[in-house]
Amino acid sequence: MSNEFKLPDAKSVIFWPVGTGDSTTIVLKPKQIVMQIDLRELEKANDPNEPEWCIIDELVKMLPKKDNGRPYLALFVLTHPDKDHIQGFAELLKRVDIGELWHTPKIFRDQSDQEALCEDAKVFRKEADRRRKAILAAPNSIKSCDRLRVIGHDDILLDDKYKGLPENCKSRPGEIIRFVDGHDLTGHFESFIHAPFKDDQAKDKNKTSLSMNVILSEGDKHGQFFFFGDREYTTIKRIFETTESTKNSKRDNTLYLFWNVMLSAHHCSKAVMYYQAEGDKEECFKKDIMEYFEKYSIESNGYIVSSSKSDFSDEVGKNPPHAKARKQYEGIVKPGHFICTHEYPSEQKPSPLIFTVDKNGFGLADKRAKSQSPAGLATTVTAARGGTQPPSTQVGFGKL
Amino acid sequence: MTTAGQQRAIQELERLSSIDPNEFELIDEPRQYENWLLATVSIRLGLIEQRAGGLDLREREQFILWIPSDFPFNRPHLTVSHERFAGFPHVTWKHSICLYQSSIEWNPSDGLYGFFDRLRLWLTRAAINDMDPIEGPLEPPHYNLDSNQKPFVIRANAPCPPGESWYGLAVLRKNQNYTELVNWMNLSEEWQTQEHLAFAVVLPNPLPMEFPTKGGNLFRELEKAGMDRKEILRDLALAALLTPEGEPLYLVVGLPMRRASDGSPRQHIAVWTVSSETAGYLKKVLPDESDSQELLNIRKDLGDAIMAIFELSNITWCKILEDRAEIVVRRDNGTPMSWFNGKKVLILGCGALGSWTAEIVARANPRQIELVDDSLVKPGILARQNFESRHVGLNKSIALADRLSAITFGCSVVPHPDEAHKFLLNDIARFQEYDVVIDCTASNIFQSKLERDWTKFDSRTPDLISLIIDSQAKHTLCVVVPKNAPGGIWNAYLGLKLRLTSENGLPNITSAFYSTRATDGMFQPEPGCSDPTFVGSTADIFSSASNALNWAISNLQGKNPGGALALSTPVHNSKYASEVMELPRFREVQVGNYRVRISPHIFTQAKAWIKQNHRSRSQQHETGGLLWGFWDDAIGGIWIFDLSGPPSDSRHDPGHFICGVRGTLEEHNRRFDQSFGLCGFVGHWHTHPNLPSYQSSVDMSSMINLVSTVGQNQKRSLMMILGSVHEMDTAGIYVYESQPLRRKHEMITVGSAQFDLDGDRT
Repeated sequence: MSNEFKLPDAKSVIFWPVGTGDSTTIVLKPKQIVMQIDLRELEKANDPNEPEWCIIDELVKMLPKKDNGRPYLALFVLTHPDKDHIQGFAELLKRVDIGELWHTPKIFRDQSDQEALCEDAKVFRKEADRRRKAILAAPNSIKSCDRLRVIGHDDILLDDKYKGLPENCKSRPGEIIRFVDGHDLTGHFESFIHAPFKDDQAKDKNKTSLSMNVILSEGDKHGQFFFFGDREYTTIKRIFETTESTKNSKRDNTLYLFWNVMLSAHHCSKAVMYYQAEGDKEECFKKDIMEYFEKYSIESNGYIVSSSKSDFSDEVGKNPPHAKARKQYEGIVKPGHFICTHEYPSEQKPSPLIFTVDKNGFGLADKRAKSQSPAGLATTVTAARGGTQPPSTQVGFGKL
Repeated sequence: MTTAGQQRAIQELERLSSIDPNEFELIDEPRQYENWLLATVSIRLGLIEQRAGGLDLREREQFILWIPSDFPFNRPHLTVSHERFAGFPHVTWKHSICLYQSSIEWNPSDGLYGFFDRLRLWLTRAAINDMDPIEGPLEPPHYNLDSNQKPFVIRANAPCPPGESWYGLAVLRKNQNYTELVNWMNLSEEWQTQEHLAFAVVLPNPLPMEFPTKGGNLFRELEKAGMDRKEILRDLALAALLTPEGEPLYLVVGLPMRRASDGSPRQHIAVWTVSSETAGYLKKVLPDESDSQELLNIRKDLGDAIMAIFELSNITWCKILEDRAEIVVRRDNGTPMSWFNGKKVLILGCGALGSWTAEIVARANPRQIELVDDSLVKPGILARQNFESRHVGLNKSIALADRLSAITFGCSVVPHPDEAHKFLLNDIARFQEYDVVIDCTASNIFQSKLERDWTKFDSRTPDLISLIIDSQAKHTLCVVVPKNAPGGIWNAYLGLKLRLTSENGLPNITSAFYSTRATDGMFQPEPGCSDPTFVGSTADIFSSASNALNWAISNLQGKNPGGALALSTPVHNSKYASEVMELPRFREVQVGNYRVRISPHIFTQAKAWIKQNHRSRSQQHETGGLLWGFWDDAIGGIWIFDLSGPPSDSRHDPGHFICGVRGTLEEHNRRFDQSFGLCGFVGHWHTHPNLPSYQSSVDMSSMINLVSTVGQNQKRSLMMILGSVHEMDTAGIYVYESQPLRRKHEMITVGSAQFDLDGDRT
């Protein structure tokens, strides 16, 4: 789908209609510093009749330009190297100068994992490796487009290849990052790293996802955005438990559990709140995780975004997004505050969902028309009553 | 044990959840709890308009329906499991949602569909904080009542405006059944020792809408409202001082928690009651000038001990019956027989019409009058109901029996403090023994329930008279149902509505009873806490009752009893208008679970269409058309009022008829609008020339397609086939319905009956 679209002139977080996959653009400083979390570029997006957007074309068009005339993306963050989070990276790298990369060590783990990586993930791994070598060659004069930050505890960082990486190229859970591609964004941006945890790294890719709470600030106004990648029930619950354990300590990090916007993990997967523990006969609904989400929704007014198509279903093999996950999320937010990227502002013609943080604080200039009353209930009741009018097509009778 | 009504509710819930489970979901199987059926539903609200102060809603809300055993005649209750709605108007006891002000707003025929329409409206208003418009009456607070205490009738206006505080005395007048609060006194005024007094305190701030049930919580709320614990103890002790030995203590509390009918704020008066035993202890808490320090300490310890007991105890309040001029709207505001001799008469409903009808009947010297009503005499109704002030607080049937006993001689007056339908069904033989039964309930719920159960009387019913008035008491409808009639009062009113709306000879009456303006002008006499009622004076009601009764008894004495009367009372700029009408006498056929009542003239109409078809085509060509009537699931009845011929785009062949659609929607809309929703499309008819009126495979296929989800999705439809056997004209009626099943499947049920047109069912 082709559209006229401009990046907002305010700090903002933009969720794109890119099918079921993640692509989030964050304007850290309008017209200057932009970051991207994950990427999902579908080939069919070039068809104007398809609802998906060509995110790379849009970024190339809208990103600030460097002196060399090339579009400049200050930071690209890869939560984990699944195709629906990295698709199109090779093209992005060709067309855009990327100042800094953030990733977890999972992409460098065992050989079998690397073979399973999609082509774009392999390109990402190659680029990250190039930067690693460049940094190790000149650790005191790291340049834009060579910058790299590895996030996690993994022992791999102690390997010969990495142990020479300067500390400012590494981050661990519990740390706050305020620098992007060499720019000090204190007072404008901070990203609190919740995960991966030290012992996550041996798990599958989803469970090693980078999880962070991003705060955009404009003066004394703030907006908080929670990203979990494709994490599931146990590891998301652990994020809340670990951070709540710091409450009232010198390093009380509970501030970083609050959210104005939460990107629903794994594109609205039920695995976030339905779980089969050892000894359980079947998967059970876990109320505790929903209570955590609800507890930290700022002023009980937060938005939950499902970066997915609108085909919510509970049938095996047809998800995510899961219908039952959506229902649980809908039960903890205000009316209209669960938003699917392919339903905004309408299912027929989706467009980017933009949350802003400016001098008036956090906001959403909602393009959707509000209904006077619960429209779905009215439609349901009318349909259930059945038609009372005569049929609209001819009805045949007869003895033959 | 799930009742038939509850089964219907389950079907309706399953149908609702089968439409789009993402919008409306039935959570788990409904379960039985005592006599209730409990069902949890999840409803998606979507992006709706919300305003500051509106209900704290979520995008998806879960509700618990408490479906009564008597559903659909009694409406379900609705609760939520969380406390997010607590304190919001029309939410009681934190969890319970009041969707309806009274039963007159509930339509049994529409079942849960109407219920959820109502919920949608409630949510819409709650979201924009439009539940209790400032110009309207504020509903009174909710609190635990002590049912052992006599009610308090508050006659004196509050001693100070809302928002101010006041301490003083309430002057009480004790009656047999209630206590009146007749005046207020300042503490500085001289007391009359013979007066009954209660300590009174008016607080400047409101309490929560639901008064706390435990003393500890109440004390905390009273502190917020401006009364600390020391004051509470002192005031209770003062109240105890005024309490005679052995009597419960009353502490009158005024709170700025009501509005008058014009929306202006008013005090709510509540009466906190404490047992006589505790009152005795409280008296000992008050210090005396001669007290030693030791005694003062003992009194303080006693006070602390009493407060500690209160802290954990349930707090109870007396029932309040409002009669303050500043709150209550008078019911007459703004408004301008020998046959009974020796008869045994049953009067159902002892309200406005019933109490005067009973007096009219009682003065005609019947042998016995029996009175049925389950409600209480309240002070405001004396404006137009036939009771005395000493009856306030008594059951109406008992009170009216007491009053009638004073004006009759030799007549046995028997009260039955019971609900009318329950009373009739409890003893069917008793019902059949009355000479006449007069229905003054004005309750469509009662009338429709009676219609549902009509067959239980086995065609042995007494003469029945029923009368109703409009919301302004300017127009009256009365129906007479003669002995052993095939249909009851509800059936008669349907026939009357059909005639009035189709002939439109009395447009004012038609509009007054059936249009969307039919309930205009109804009001709540005790704002916020009573059922909406009509506007009318004793004169209006007495006039309606006497005119209707005169006509009804004359009709019963006629050669061919049965019929209806519609009349308008002459008032300013209008003339007296009345019309006596014969009512359609339907032919009844049992088809599956439905009683199908057919207006006999439709067979004449069908024969005319068949003749025309023979003339223009051949005797072998089939023909057909549409059937018009009313389908009532609550009663289990289908009325066929009318029949129309083949639409112009129909196709006629020997052995096949395709019913067209041209003009049918317009015809449906015209009939539906003209009859104010009574008469619409109910099904099709067609012929099987020279063959029995059995359905063919083609007929079955078409009907299934009509009612199933994959087809027209009519949900239900009726088919009438006109055929012949041995030159005898016969008809077959088939009722098709789709029943939702889990996993998007549905079951089609078919009821059928065969009968000959000139005789009985075959």
